[in-house]
Amino acid sequence: MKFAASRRLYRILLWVLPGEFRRRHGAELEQVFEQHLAEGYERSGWIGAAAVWGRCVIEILSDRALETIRSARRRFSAADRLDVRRHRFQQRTTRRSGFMADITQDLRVGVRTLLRSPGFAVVAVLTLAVGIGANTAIFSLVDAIVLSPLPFDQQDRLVSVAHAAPSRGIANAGQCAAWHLTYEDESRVFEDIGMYGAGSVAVTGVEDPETVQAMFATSGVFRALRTRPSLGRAFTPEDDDPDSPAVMLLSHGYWQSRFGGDPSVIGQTLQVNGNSWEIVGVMPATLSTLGQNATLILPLRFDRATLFVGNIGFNAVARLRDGVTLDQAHADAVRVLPMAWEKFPGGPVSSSNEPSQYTPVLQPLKVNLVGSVANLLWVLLGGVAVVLLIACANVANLFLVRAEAKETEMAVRAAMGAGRRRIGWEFLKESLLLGVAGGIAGLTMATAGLRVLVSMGPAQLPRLDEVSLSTSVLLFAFIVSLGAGALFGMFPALRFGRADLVGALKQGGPSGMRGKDRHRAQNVLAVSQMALALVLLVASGLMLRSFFALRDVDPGFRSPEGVLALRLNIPGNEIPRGEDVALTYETIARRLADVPGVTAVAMGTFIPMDGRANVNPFYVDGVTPSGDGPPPMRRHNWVGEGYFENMRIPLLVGRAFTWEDVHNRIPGVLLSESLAREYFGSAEAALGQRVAARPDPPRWYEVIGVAGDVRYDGMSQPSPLMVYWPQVTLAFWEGSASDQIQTWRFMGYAIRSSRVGTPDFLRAVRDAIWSVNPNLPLRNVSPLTDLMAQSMARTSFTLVLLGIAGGAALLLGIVGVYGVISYAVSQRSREMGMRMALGAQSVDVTRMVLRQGLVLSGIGVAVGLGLAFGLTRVMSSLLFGVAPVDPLTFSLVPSGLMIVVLLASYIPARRAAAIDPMEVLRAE
Amino acid sequence: MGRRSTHGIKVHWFHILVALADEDRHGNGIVREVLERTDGQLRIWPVMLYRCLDEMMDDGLVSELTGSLERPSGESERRRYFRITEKGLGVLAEETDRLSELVNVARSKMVPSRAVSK
Repeated sequence: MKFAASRRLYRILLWVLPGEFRRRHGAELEQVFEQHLAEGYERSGWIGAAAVWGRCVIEILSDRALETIRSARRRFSAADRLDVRRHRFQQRTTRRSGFMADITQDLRVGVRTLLRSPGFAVVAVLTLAVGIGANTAIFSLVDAIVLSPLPFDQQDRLVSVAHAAPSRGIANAGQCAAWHLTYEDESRVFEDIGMYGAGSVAVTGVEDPETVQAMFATSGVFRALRTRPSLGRAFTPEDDDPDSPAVMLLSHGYWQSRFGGDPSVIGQTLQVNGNSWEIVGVMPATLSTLGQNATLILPLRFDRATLFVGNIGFNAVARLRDGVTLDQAHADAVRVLPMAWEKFPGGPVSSSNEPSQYTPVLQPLKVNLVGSVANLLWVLLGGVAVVLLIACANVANLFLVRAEAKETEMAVRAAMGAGRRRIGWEFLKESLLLGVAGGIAGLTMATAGLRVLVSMGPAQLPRLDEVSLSTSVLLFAFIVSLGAGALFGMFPALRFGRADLVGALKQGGPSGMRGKDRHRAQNVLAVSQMALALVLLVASGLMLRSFFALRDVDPGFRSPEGVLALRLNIPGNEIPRGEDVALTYETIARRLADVPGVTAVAMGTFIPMDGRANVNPFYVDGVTPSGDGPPPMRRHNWVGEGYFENMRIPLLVGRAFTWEDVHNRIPGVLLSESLAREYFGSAEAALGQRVAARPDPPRWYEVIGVAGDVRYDGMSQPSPLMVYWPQVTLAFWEGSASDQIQTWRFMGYAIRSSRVGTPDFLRAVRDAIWSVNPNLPLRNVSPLTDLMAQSMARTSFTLVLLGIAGGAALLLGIVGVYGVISYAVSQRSREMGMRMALGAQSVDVTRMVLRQGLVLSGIGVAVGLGLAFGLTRVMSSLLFGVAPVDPLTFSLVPSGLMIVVLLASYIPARRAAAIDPMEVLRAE
Repeated sequence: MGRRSTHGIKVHWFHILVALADEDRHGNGIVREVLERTDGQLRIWPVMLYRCLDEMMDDGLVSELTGSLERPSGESERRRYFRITEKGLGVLAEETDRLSELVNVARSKMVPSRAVSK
């Protein structure tokens, strides 16, 4: 299964072999090849597989050559009674069996012929190089990201483990420590399971302190992936114990850049977030495949005694036991999951946090990592394939014109006894040569383009560092080049292979080619170019519309420029009491506001675009939840003073919280506008109403204000229905005592300042935070605009690439149509001169030529529209705020294309109108 | 049968015959058997394998199992199995004798001379 693509390629390659042998053994040859490939891969990875590939290609080619010699020998002995010389002549000119023997000479002649018209060759090779290069570059992405297996041992047994809460509309709630430990203890299907998360940490105690990405992982991650350290050791189960020594791992890249690959780094200590960590190992680069892009790897540790089901949001990876299917694993996970609540009782919420609410979601790890990107990449590959087709059509056009010049030569050959196949091969060998030359030039372009692609690729594109020109990419480029060569060489080969060349010879010149035939072939090419270009232009038009729609989206808050976002987390061993935690966060907010240059500080458990959420029950006084289903769920956010003002979220009615409200634990609440409308019809009507987070007995909170909707989850996601609570609340959850306070140990800050982006500022912010408590790591530090851009990154990436493809298609298409029309004009100059001599005005001639262009593009547009209607549906998951059949795009693009084609036909039309009838007549 | 002479048969033929001597096998089975038996030293590539099998069938050393009755039970229909013929067994025995004779000759010449010289 793993080598399905290779096997398909091999099957194509088998066509080189003699037909009978191939038909008899083809299927078995593939089986044996696949076994060799699997064995080679197992022995030494991709290098081994590539070696097998190389060996098998050589084997097939040499067998073909040997067989040709053998069959020639057989035929010679059978025919030696005949006139040997005649036989040889025939063999060279008509028989396909001479294929291999003659091929070297043929190619040499071909190269010489092409070099005789360098202009033609250069244009053709460059046109092809653009098409083949683009295809190779995008295919490298598809190959590395979608097709090739993950770089882990027996990667098909790796699964991602997440959980869904369908009744609450949560498709992916990730993993939590309690579940993780339950699976580890109870599961019968996992060989190993690991849990991991990402965050940023500060490396200090060195000359140049820096904030780096870190991966937090349990030891199971490394066992499940079977990733061995390149140096030292990985985490062991002992490292999962919270009381064990502070140890950490380095990523391969950081080891190289920071320590120059010094092996004595093992045993050294590094100050991370103010604590000393001993470096025990260096992990290989393959680890970044998990999409964490981490510089440091720190242990993820939990105290079993205080654990409960909650704090969901980690990632998990597991290795299935040998022979266990995904379905069996899922069934076992369903059995094990409820045990987590027995093993780890407690937790803040009871009614919504029940075993029945959650169901495990197991996916092959590869699907989990690359699933959503596959569609995007296939669309892009389709786009560049269209560009290549258009490029082929252009070169085919050039070829058709050129073929006429060779007509007499071909006629002579035909008269001398060359068969149709031989004549066809004359054209085909040139086009194949051009194809291969274009492929080589295209590979150069692909190498350069790939570097640009990878550097501009959005961060969400997984496995980007695995992208390279691999063996399969080279093979792809080779096959595409030959295919392209065969495609555009086919036109003249078919036409001249069929034509009555001897008749042409009798007439004594190229005029023997029937103009109608030639024009029909060229017109078909021009129409297909128009149609294909239209499809691409419509696709890029839709992406452009999506991009503008996204850019015009109101995020719900003003002026994200100059805002720095970061998160803090206060662990229980640092500050045990909730009240003190809340006070620490408040003090930090005040200190941050005092940093020079800071104009405002907003503080809330969740700030926009930070990718986190809390979903919990929500009750309204006087509204009884219907049925037995779960209570209605809404998003919750706990905020401090000035949150709305400083985030610049408009306050529609009422007032926001003050620190005094927080200290007095007032039972007040704010709602987002849509939430207020949902229950009360309008923002005004919501004021004074009572809502709660617990049903029985409810602790009512009065609505004191309504704020505007905010797109918390990214620009392309709808605004969630949000409830804003004060930072500290009393008796909040079901079952809490009346004096029990509720507050969170994590907090997000948005700091507004004109100094955002300068290193000094980050240092000042860090010092302000550490002046309150020096042991708090700064996490997820990022300008807010970066977070917003990230949510648009995929759209802009697709837009740029499809835009480039669309532009190239348009350019090539226009050149094609221009070529066809101006060629037609030059051929018909005599006719036009006659017309004008007989009284036709130059306007009439201009109109006649323009009409031809219009008819061509009209048919092309009609065909293209039909194609686009069908194809753009594939894109619907990439679009935002625009339908796949968008009336504006579908009307503007075709009319724009028609206008451009008219302009392109205008130049030859002017030339036709400028013909001097006298000169034409004189030439007669 | 130009391929058999005083110089014996082709190395690949010999190994294929050895692979088939104890059991009927399909193509993959032959490749695997040879690879394991020679400790990864001899690898029979796909085209080579089927060219050899074709020639050996022409020479009547190997036959292909056609009817489903002849196939080992529990195997899929798609794979073609090969069986060594009586003639093939004879050739294999002949070749084995030739090789062992060769080995004996070589040993008888080598061992004493070494013993003397050391």
